[in-house]
Amino acid sequence: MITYETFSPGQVMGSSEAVLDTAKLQAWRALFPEDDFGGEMPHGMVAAIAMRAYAEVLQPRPPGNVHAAQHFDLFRLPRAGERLTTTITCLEKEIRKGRFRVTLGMDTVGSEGPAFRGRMTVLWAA
Amino acid sequence: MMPETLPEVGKMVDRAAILAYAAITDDFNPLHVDEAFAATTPFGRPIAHGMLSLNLVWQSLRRAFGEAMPISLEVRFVRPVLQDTQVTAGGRRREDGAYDVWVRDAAGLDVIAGIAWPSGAGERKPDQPA
Repeated sequence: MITYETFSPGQVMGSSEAVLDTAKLQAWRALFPEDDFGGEMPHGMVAAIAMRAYAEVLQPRPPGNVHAAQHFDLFRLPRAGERLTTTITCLEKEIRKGRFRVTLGMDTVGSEGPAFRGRMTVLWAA
Repeated sequence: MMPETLPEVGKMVDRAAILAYAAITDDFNPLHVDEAFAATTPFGRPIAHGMLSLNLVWQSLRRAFGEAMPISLEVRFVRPVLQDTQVTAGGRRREDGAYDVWVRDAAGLDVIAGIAWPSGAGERKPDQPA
């Protein structure tokens, strides 16, 4: 189980690879029909890529984590077929008002170069 | 010419949407998908992934600015979105050229609040990748 004590600022937690395939795009469009831009990734799928990496790299997690804040910088929108690698780094951790706060950096790079970057703050449950 | 307001985008966040988003992101946090677990929390019922509702902000930005890059977005998830809640995203231009953005529930309360920096908006630009 990954607990608050596990995290160390500056530590690379791991990487996750994903191909932006048509199945993922279709699943996204089924939920958000407006987001049909042919083979181009909709903006909001940065979250899907980031959260998949989070789910894959940071496990097992305690139940009940809460997503508190999020920052994204988008540099370009990948296209279908591109392989994306997201690396997750612990940026900081603190206890505020008795709650464990962990901030994670998420850098996503594809075959065409850097695509987007995220910073995610989670209230870690244990 | 940068618009003063961003187009409003709404969605009903129901159980089907939450389960679909969980499958897409592989995030099956019981807070989102386990109704029995959620019943034991202060929320009383499942809450949606914050990023599900955040996509409405992305859609609003896309309607306003197309695919212009780079673009940055920073938000706080200030209130949980309970299952079966209608939410609406929008935004308003700030004096510095960036945009205050939000997602609100049916009562008009912010559930997500933050700032967007579309390409060409304001002095602050997204940091470029190394």
